[in-house]
Amino acid sequence: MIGGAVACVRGEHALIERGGAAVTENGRVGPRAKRPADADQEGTGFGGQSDRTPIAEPALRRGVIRSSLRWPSGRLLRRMVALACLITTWQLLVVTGVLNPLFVASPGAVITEFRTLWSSGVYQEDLGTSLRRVVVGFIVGGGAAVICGYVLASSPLAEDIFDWPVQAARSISPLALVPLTVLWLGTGELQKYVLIGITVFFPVLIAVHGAVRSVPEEILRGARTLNCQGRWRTFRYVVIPISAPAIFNALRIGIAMALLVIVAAEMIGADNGIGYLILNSGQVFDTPAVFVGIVSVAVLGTLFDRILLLAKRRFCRWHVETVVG
Amino acid sequence: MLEVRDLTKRFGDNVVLDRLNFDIGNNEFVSIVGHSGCGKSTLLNCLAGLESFEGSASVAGQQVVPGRVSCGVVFQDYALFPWLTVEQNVRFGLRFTVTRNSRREMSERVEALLAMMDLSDFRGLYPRQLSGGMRQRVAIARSLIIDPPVLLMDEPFASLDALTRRRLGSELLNIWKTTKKVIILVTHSASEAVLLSDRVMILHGGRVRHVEHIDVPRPRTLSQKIIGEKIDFVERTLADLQTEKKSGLE
Repeated sequence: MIGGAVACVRGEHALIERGGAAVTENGRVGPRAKRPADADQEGTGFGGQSDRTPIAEPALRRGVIRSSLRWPSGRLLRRMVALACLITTWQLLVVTGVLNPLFVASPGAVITEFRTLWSSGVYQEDLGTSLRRVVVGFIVGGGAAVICGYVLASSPLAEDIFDWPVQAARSISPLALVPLTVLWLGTGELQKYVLIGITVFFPVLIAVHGAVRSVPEEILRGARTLNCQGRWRTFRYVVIPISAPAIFNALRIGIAMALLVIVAAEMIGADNGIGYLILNSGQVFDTPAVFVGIVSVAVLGTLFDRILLLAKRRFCRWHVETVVG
Repeated sequence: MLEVRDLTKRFGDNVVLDRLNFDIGNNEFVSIVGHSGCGKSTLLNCLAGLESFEGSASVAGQQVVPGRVSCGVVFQDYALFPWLTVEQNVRFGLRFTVTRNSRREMSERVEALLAMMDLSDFRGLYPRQLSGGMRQRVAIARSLIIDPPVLLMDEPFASLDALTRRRLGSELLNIWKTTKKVIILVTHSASEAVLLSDRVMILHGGRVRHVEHIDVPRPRTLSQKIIGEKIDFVERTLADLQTEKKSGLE
């Protein structure tokens, strides 16, 4: 081994090397020709101790992160009890006259009215009509929004062109579009589908755009080092899976807004549907029927939300909803 | 195995890497040490094909081209895919390899890597369920699945506790001996560099300012006088370079 410093000047900077000559003829720093033989034993490590130490490395994190798949029965019980208390309180307030039954129907009256509507077939027809409008509009609007959101997030040109118009358009209340859509499309089913589609489109678009733009750079970088390169590959194998939880959340918001708007749309330009049922019943002071409609919308909204939540949990098992506090 | 010629990287007017020239031979373990901002990570990104650069670099005779993967990379922040399990993370890179082996061969490779990194019992877990050390093992296994000739490691143990660093350092040496790959390790720790490497390259101001050969057989321990001297020398050199920079003599 050659001790001391060997100065090798190459170009404009000096390279100092110790511990043996390994500078090649043209001044490059290269590997040593031979390395001292390492002891051939297991457990080479820092400090010469075996790495088979008895201290077990903690493999699993413990913390307050909760799996999204578990449904603690205590929570379900609390929710059911809370709901039962709400309904009971409502019933008592009406029965005791605190609330005027002309304006607020009791749960008992609502159930009776529901049976009447059901047996006449009116309820099923109205419910089915509203459901169809919401589902079709949601699928079309939500599907278009997911695609457009991805395109907008991945194309600077598309974003430059469409960003301002999108921001302006999403500030417009969908209800303000009802008269316009009636004017353009009449009061038929297409008008309802288009209105619902527009209602769902913008919130989902914004959420998808945000989710795609939030993909961590280190994830994209990691994928590139594994040969996952190119726009389509990156989208399919990285962007779509990591943004899926946010997309599902956006769809949950979208469906809630769709139900909001369909009721209003059916009040203005329809002769069937839950909105029509509510309006028509209100005009004749059939308060229980009005409440049947309102409760139906609430139940539908909860049902759709749960379906989407279950779908999210099924397809995004890895995602954890953290609880603050 | 790895040849770097006049490698230069600029960000605007800022020259981050300045005409680097070095060679790394087969089965070498080289550490790159330096202060923050000296260009260590940028150098790794260039060699990994993640950044464009001037000059040339070749790995196993193939030119390094931005956008083409030539090395395996392990990052400080693991960069694991949270939506995939341990096994799926390790298997991920196989999908895009040019050479398509049979399913059985690929599965055998995955199994071998999981066993080597002691991950077999955790294959079904997600990254969020793992400790930092386990995540880094998954990251290493994932980078090895594509069988790269060179493994680049950018401060892989920086966010781990001392004990885990030690354990993983030992395991890294075992992996290196088993796989016979070239490993280039970027680290802030002079002791880590000296204990693990054949050579320690000190980077400063975008240039290789010093190369320290560690001609000490393994296993190496901190109690060895020569190791202590080497560590001291590396640390002193870094300190001197930092002082030089501050006084504007550079």
